[in-house]
Amino acid sequence: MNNSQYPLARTNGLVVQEVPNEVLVFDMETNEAHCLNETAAMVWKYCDGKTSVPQIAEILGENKGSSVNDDLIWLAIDQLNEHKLLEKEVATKFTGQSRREVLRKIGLASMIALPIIASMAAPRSVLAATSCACVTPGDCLAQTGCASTVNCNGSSVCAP
Amino acid sequence: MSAYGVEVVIEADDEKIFEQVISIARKALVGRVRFGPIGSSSTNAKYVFLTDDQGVVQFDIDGVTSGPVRPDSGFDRFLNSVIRAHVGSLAKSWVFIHAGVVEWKGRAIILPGQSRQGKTTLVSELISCGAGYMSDEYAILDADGKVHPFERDLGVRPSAVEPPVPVDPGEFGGIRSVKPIEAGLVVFTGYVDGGRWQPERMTLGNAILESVPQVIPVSFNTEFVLKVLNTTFNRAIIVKSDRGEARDSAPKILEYFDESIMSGE
Repeated sequence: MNNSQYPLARTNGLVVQEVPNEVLVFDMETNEAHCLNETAAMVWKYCDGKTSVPQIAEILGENKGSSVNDDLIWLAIDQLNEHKLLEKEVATKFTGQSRREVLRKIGLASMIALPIIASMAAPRSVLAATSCACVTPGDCLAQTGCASTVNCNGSSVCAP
Repeated sequence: MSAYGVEVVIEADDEKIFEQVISIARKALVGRVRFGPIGSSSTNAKYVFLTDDQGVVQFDIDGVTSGPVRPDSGFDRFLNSVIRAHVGSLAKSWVFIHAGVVEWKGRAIILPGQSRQGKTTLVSELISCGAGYMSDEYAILDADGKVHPFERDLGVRPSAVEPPVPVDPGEFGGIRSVKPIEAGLVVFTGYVDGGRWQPERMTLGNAILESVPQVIPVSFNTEFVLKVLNTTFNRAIIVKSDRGEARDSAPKILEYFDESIMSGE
């Protein structure tokens, strides 16, 4: 694990789509989509391997017209780590603390929105199935070879 | 066969099965399909159907083998779904999202979501209230973000455990809306016992994210899919809400559209 204070954003195997105030990232390796809110997206943008965590906090603060605590950046990095959006995993600063405790501590002190990354798994290949019959979506959960493991479609097949 | 820009070679060693497959494909792709010889250079996929002495069919869709199945035991429904999803996944200039769609006042109301959340019921109630029917299964989006109809009949389930039967939208007093139109409202909603229509605005990014599981493999043409979803949803108001009975929710959705979109918000 890399304990660097200079986090580097991953670029390989990702498709990025910017939308107003958010960034969508599709990970081709895990087949997951992520939505980074404005704060998380800005932190990710400055993870260039040359900018330190305190420097990212400073840039963000200048951008938002408010001082930003390093912990807020660490919270974003923690989530970027979790979603494999950094080139190398960075050791968390919040070892031994729950996410809730960290959020409460930072949230009370922060004038800007907390970084949030929401994620969603995408359906697999539509042809990965040999038998994907279902009656309810629950029937698809265990059918991991099917086009969808969450949806039993109008034709009673585990597919979108 | 050719549909939505996707060219597929179909081979079968039994003429009856071949005709059955053609008929299933025609239904699956709601008539937007042409049959005839195609050049091998433009082929995107190959379907092969082999029938044994007992009439049991083994089929191979683009290298993935399925079956064996008897042609009279669920083969139609399964193949119908697979062809639709497969063509949708290969269509480079189109995005297929699992969604109900109606037209209201010249704009599309898109209801993305999984099956069995009451989407068809909600669509049928919306068309009973005067909305134009576009689809109860897919919203089909073009590169400019316009919403196209998927003109099959509604698939109404007689009961929770029975497969859907086709019902013409006219039976709900509705008419088919056939022109591509812009999205006006995107609603992420599902039936919840005792649920109430309480729409909350969603961000564009979160709406695209929520749509990902409903898009026919986003991983095939990811950049295009995300761009089209961005273009389509960016023109619309996007909300999320639980809902109760479709009969109560449908007029509320249309009222919400009128209040928030027709008022120029």
